Amino acid sequence: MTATNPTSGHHSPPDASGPAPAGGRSGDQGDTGTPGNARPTGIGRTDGGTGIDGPGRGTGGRRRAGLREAVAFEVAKLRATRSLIGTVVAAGVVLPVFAVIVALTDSLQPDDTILGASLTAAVFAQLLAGVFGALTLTGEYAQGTIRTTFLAQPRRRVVVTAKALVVAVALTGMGLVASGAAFLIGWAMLDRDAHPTGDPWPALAGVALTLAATGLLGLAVGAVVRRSAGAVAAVVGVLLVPSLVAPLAGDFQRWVAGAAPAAALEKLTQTSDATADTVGALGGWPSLLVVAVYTAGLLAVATWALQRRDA
Amino acid sequence: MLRGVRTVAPMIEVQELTKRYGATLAVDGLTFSLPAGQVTGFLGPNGAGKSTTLRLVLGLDAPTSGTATVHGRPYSDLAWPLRAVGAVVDAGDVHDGHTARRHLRALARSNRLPPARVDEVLVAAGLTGAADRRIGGFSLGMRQRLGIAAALLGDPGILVFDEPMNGLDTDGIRWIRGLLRRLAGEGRTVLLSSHLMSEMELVADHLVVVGRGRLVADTPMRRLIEEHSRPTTLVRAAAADRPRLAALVGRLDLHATPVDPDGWLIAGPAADPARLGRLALDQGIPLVELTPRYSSLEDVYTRMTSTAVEHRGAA
Repeated sequence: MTATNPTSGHHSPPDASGPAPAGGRSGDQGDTGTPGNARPTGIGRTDGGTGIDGPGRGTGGRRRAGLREAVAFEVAKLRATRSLIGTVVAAGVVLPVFAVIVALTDSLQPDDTILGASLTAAVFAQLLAGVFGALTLTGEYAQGTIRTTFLAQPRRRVVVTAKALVVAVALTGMGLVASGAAFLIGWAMLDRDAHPTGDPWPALAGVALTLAATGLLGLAVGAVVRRSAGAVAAVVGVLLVPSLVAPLAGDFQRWVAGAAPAAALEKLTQTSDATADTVGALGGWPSLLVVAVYTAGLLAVATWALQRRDA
Repeated sequence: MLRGVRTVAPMIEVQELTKRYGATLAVDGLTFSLPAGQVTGFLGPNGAGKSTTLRLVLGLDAPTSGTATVHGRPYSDLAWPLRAVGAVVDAGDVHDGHTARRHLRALARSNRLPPARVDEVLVAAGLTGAADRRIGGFSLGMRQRLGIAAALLGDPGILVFDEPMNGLDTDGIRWIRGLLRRLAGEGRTVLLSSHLMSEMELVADHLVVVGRGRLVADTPMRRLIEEHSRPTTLVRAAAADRPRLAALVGRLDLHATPVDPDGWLIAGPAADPARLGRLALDQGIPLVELTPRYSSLEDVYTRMTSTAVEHRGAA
């Protein structure tokens, strides 16, 4: 046990605004360590540090741990969690893969655009995006790491906001790359004389943003449901049920189906399936706005629930 | 362990803390406060509300009423939580797919702790060899060490451990005993719950005992044992002197229990070793052993908690 530990001691001097530190720490307490343990203990505290709650050295002058730290934390966890990475990658891979399949089988409707045909798997990718969003939170409940997370950042609103940012950025990035790749594949492989190209820009950006919004919807569902299986079922339900029950809604069919996240996506991909009769006359971008609005509402509810409930 | 420390505000303070889960009253008007520089043992039978109290202190659960503060404020108001409080609530609260190093690196980022700190706490916890292995393959003892490494990461002034000795082998228990003593010796506040009475007796300066969510005792360890002890004295003679010692014990009508070989455990007021030694000398009985014995923490604790339960039952 050595008294010197050059790399430790990142604490600030005692902070006048904080609670008074207990004095008298002399660093090494040579008689209390494990006998025969000659290694440095790495506990730190060689500077007579305080352990008080105040800004310390290395905090970049920041007053308290906030969104920046929470985002860095979430990114680090995401990068280390294979199941989450796998879900995002799967969501990204299905788009170009299905573009290839559609091209090879030439299975286009006569009125299909190349854009719409290339993004045949968009709704499938959307399901995975929603599942990804849910798992970023329910996975933590399943592993118990949610307690570790809340100990590191007890302000749960900050945690949810950080997760939402990471989910949105990851899915937007993935969506742009994957839908762009899918479109290029379709454009290269499909018969451009037989089918109109469609308007890929800014529709592809809209697709990416819709995937991000769906991920946030999943996150909100995950925050409320908290169990992975239940959350995944709920996400799939939210995404698929509107189009299933809409035909039963009579005159309201267009409103029920048209407000679904899948409808926004179908409209943006300009697929022939998205007719005004089934999903309403509202355009792709306004539909995305509708999805964004109720997703934001649901996230607010989810944050409130998370703050109220015991971890 | 006297030192020139002025009295400081309690590092952990719990006031009239109450937590109700549905019909169950898990914590019932609990009040105690812990100063810096000592190890406080948190004792109580299963279901007494220990873990719930710790979760309330750490802001994981919200109290039904009352307050719990660390460094004078609710946990959720801490600016840099990991720099102020290190806690292990459950050694299983880690992602099995991550390596120990990645887990700690991510945690370090959450409170802007330097990455070099990760290597230091890995050394401190004796995990350097396992740093890059997946946590899923860790034994419970290694998970405990990882949890403690994470708690030390921010070099905090307050440490809260829930059953940190679970799953540790003898070496591990010796290690954590030394670590806890050292942390308190450095002036930190250490609160630990454990079922291991013998360990608690070795490591804790102060005890907070709860039963059925209520405070049973809040007292220095030594005083608790002294006040609740039933002192006994073991007397033993050589085999040849056994009949004479038996006669003495019988004649004095002592509260005596025979102990093999050739001894008696004397209880009650007559157990004063000085008096027993004098009596034996007067009778010319050479004693082989004359040992005063105090109750162990476990004895005292068992008596106290059973009394507490009886009180509650009668109320």
